[in-house]
Amino acid sequence: MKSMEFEKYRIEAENICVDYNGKVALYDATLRLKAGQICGLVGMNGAGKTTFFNALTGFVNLSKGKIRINGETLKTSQKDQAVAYVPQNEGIDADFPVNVWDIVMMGRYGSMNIFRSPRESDIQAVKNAIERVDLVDYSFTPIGDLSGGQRKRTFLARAIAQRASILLLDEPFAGVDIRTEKLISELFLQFKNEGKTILLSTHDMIHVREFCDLVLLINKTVVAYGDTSEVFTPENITSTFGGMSPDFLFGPES
Amino acid sequence: MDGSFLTIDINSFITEPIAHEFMRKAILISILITSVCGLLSSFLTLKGWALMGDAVSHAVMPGVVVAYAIGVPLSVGAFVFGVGSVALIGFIKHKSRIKEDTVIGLVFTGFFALGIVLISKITSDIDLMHILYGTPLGIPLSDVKQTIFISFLVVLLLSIFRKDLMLYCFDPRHAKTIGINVSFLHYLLLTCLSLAAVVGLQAVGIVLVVAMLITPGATAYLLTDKFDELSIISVLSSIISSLIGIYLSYWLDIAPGGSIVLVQTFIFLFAFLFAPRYGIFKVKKLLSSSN
Amino acid sequence: MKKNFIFIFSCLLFIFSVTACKNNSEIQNSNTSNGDELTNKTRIKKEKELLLVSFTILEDIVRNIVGDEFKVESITKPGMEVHGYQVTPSDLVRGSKAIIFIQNGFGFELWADKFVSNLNVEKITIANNLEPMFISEDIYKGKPNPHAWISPKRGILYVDILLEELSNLDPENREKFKKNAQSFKNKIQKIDEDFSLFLNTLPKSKRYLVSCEGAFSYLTNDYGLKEAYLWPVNAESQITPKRMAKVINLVNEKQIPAVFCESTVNSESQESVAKETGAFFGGNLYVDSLSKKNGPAESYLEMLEYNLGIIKNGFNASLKN
Repeated sequence: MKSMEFEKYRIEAENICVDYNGKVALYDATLRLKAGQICGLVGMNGAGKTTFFNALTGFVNLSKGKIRINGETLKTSQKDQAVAYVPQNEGIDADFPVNVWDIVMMGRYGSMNIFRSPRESDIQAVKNAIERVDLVDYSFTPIGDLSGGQRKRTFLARAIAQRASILLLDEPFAGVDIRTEKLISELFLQFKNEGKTILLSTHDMIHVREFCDLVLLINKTVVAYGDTSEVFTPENITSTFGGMSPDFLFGPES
Repeated sequence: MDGSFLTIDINSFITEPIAHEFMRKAILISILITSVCGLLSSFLTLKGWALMGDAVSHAVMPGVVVAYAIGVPLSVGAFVFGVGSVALIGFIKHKSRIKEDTVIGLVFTGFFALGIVLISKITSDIDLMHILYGTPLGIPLSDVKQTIFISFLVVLLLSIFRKDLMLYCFDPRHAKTIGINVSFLHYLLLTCLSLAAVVGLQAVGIVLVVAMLITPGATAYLLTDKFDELSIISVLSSIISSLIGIYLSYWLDIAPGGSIVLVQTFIFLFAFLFAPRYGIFKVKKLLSSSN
Repeated sequence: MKKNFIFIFSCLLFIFSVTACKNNSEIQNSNTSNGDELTNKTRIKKEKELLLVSFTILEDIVRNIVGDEFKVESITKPGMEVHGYQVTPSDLVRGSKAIIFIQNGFGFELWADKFVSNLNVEKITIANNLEPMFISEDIYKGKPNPHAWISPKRGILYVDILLEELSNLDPENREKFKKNAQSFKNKIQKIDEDFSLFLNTLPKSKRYLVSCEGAFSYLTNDYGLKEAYLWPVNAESQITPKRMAKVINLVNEKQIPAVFCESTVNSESQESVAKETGAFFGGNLYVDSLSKKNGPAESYLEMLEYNLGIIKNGFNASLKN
């Protein structure tokens, strides 16, 4: 039973194209991910990473192509709370008057009634999620008072509370402390074992090698896709980054 | 002896104005209108829609004139044009490379100019220019009923969808991801904005209604880090401004619409200076203690 | 699909409002074209010259004096606000054709000086020959009150002043103008006498005219009434609660039977006064403009009759109760 579960495709994106007012942001991109896979999304700024995420969450409309989540349409997957999105720290209004609890509770909204009044099960789910990201002491701290790492963990907790099977993470390691980084990498392993699928964008090549089973290199379209060990080569990376030397990108590591 | 004299004075200070029926009516209607605007204001502040509030309140002007000319309730015309202006803003922004603030400025001044042209062309018995400056002292009974109805409608909508709207303001992408209809919320908020502008302009007029839609929310934003408190403080400061504003207008013999807005501005300034966490004097204190 | 709908909706809105505007001007055009037909017939005899007048009430008085010797047109239209009117290009075109521009003065036409300075046209200002009454309150304090024509007695002076000026303009027709003016004055006099008679039937203590604007100073002064109002001039200076309270107290104290308002402003505040004091709300009086076609005050005489009728009815109805 479990093996069958792991055989199914969680994400199927076929030849998707997205344009904003006629400006092409992404074209002919294809991606298939199974349960328990972690895939790194690598590309320059403006290469279409965020657009890819937007397409998978239904935040932008496709001009061409097809997306299936767990074999269902986007609409159904939204209803099932199948996809969770963890934003970049820069994308959050840190002055917004909400605290950790409020934000994690937002993960439960999709399954609540119209007034979004939490049931006992929702409260329990939020508590558990906050425990898993180690923020119990900060449950009622406004987000403005949190550090970058704590904010990141808050949004991870929201994804956990949502019980999504697919996690989309935009730069999960950008601007976080060592402790958060360690906690996130532990969570990734747990998620993998739970059969969740993770797609994460990152600028940090080390993290790709460390966590990702697969890697998707994009520059408006797919440059290369496959197992990290096969695809993540200096040549591919150079062409993804428009001819920039991989030595420069890898820094002192290589 | 001095004490008793003082109490009598304070008593009459408070009771003399409300001995008049028109004052009681004005106070009640202003409290209703400003609290609706105040409640909405807490959402607009978070969504960053101050300019949108300005746009909608100005764009309703031709609606009022047209409604007058064809004899339908003014609020209907105002509402149609308020929503219409917003739809047009969305359309132009979507279909062109022009930035949103430019589009907003462009559309609302265009609508406002249309209003002025219509006023000069439609000969009416009432001087329509006066809708630029409203007054809570002379709101006709039929309008009072409308105002109450619209106010309750707005409060009802905002109460039902308050958490969704908060999420929409905070993180629309997450809202979309979990299957919440974001464009519905977008237009819901805009509809409430148009409706609030319609009731607000009766009390203070088109020019000042935007203050009631912005100031209370901004004040509350300086005073709290909790969303529920933000709405409550916003509404409370609106109610207090109405009360003080109308009393001041009675005792100082000044126009009540302007007086209410001025009190709101003073409350904001007070919060700006002395808010426990975000007031500027607080910042200084923190700096000096850390040095 | 949805976007298209929004676009179409916006277009409809725009077209709707523009056509609302157009319909209106079409009506006016058809009016003027009728007028043109008439003048075309008489043009065979003599090309009529244009007297341009600032507002509709004055237009009517002038027309009653000159008869059909001149074309008389008003810049502001019936029912329009006169103080803050904004001059349009077509007004300037008409102004350049006119042989004279006639205005009330006393600061009534705020736009007139600029208007005339753009044109090479003579002007007649009634106020130059009229004894002013001054506004006693507010930002206009000390300025003359412009609304002299509201009193029939002053209306007669208007006719005299205009007769003199117009006769100088066209000495050939002096006799004709004089005859016209005399019969017009007789009609005004009749209204004046009626009103005086009526007022004599009222107890002296009740002879108050309570209105929205302080536009009736001349009327009250000329007929021995006392005046009270919610605001001194024009609603631009907004109404304040204190003023309302003052009027309410006065109405209560003097037991004034009826209160009134003006047709161009929102009468709701005055109705509140009536409600709170138990006084009778008499209705709306015409002040700055004649009514539109088929309205109750299409001419100066009708306006006087209507206003004084409203005042009489107000007092009668309340005294009966």
